[in-house]
Amino acid sequence: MCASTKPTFQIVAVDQNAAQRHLRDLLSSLDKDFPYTPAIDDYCERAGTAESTTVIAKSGDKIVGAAFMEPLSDDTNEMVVIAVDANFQRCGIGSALAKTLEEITRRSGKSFLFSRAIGPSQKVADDIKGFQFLKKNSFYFVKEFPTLWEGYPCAFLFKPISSAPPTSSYDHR
Amino acid sequence: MTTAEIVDLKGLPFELRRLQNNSGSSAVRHVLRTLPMYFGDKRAIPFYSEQASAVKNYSLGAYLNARQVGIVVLRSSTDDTGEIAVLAIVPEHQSVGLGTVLLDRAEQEAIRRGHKCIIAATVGPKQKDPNFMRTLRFYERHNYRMLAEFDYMWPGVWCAYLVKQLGD
Repeated sequence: MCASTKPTFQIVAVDQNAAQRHLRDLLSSLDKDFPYTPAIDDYCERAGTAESTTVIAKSGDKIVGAAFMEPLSDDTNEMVVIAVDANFQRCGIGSALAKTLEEITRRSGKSFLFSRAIGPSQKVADDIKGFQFLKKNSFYFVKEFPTLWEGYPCAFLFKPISSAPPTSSYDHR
Repeated sequence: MTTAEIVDLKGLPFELRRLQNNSGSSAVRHVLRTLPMYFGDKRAIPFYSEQASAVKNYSLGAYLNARQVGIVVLRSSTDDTGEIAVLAIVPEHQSVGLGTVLLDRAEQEAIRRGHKCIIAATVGPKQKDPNFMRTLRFYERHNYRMLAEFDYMWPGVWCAYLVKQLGD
């Protein structure tokens, strides 16, 4: 949870090696949200490919958040993972990471940022934090698939990316 | 039937009628049976006719001289999104603009319901099916963009999700 004084942080893009290292450290520390080691291995492998884009949030020297996306089609990137250190959640870091991926998507000429999350028919509040985060960040909820993921409803969401000039900076001070 | 409208397309007076429950279901079956190149899978017609019978869905039939020639069904997937569940025109009345009219009415209904976007799922370009390439081009002409193509939605078939923002 965010402290009463919001931390300053900076969002930076990182190369594939750093992406894998930082993602593994961060996701492993979030064992409630990312309880399965094979899933972490899969995310790290995908973040290590040349097609993927990873951004991290740094507060001082500490890595406090990370997100990565990969191309889904000519017009769409998929935001696969977004994660924030448990002590830095609700500080706006996740939104800043998502906005940075949106901006990179916009600059690449693509129209949509897509993401999947556990859907709202899952009644455990903690399980739908990701869905609520995406809705709060103006993603449209397209559809929920009850059986696509074993044991969890899978929600598809996307955000149209405006072709308007950028209004945000990578720095959040 | 709750409302009716006549639209003139290339000199032919097509009647559009709101359909409910069983009438929508039988209309879907009637039209889809004429289109085995699209709906040849034996599971397809029962699936889509069920969509037309769902109470919350919007079904609009097109008729010429009292004969069923087209159908569109819109369902609300979520509060944000309307989905074209079925859109089909019998072969002899394709390419006169009837699909465009039915799609427009479904989009108007999606706007009326407060949806921010509308989607259509169809067989994707990676499947290289010439019939569905026509479908894709139809939606592209009406400003639908391909969100993505998935290989895990329908067994053995590439599924394309097409999307259009509404109202902005």
